[in-house]
Amino acid sequence: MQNYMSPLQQAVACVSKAVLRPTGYEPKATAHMLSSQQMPSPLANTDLYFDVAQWFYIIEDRLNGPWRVTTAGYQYTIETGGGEEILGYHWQPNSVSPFKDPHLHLGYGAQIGRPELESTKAHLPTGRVSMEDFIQLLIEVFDASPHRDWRDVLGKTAKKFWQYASWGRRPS
Amino acid sequence: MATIRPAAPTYSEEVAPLTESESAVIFERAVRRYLNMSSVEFLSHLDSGYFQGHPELERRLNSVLFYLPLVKR
Repeated sequence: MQNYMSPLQQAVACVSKAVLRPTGYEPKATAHMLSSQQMPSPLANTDLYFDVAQWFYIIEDRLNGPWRVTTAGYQYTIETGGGEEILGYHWQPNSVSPFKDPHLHLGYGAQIGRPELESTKAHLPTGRVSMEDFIQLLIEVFDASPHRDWRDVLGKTAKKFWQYASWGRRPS
Repeated sequence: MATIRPAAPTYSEEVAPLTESESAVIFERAVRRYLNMSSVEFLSHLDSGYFQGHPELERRLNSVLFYLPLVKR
């Protein structure tokens, strides 16, 4: 569990004091969630808020085990201080939505001015997005004030994530 | 031959798991944030099929449904 949680916490800590906590540590048939009570969390140095949450399973790993964590879904969003979503990266394979693949939503907070992109049906396909990718976006695009070592931290944690990821491809 | 299951993962004393009441708070916050209603109202609407008549809420609904297992453990 620490191999799963620790890198994600380090990544989030680059831009926030939020503490990620799981709903449990025991293997079970249904997924656990990793989230924070501080979400949506103020994004350092901005008037924006962000949220990250993942669902995960703890499964037996007969090869490198005894256990490993496998992600079952994620939701990463950034929104205005008024609560308007700017964008959200979603992967909700168990949702009722017919769109099960990873995708991006653009919200009214993005001020795109294109209703078709802001509509409920606009699932813009993406590859798998790691939490590190999202945190980097918050820093480089939304000018979140990170702690000094953020490049080193995100570089290390992202490398670890993609090393053990069973699907998806690391952005080049 | 019986299958021997490994012991459960070690509990981390550093990060306590979210309790059911803490999870409920996160869910309540998500419902208010995305749909501007209480979780009680939301669950009632969900059971009554209210959202089927409001396709414009689909995206916000999906964002809330992402958190639903927090209160349906």
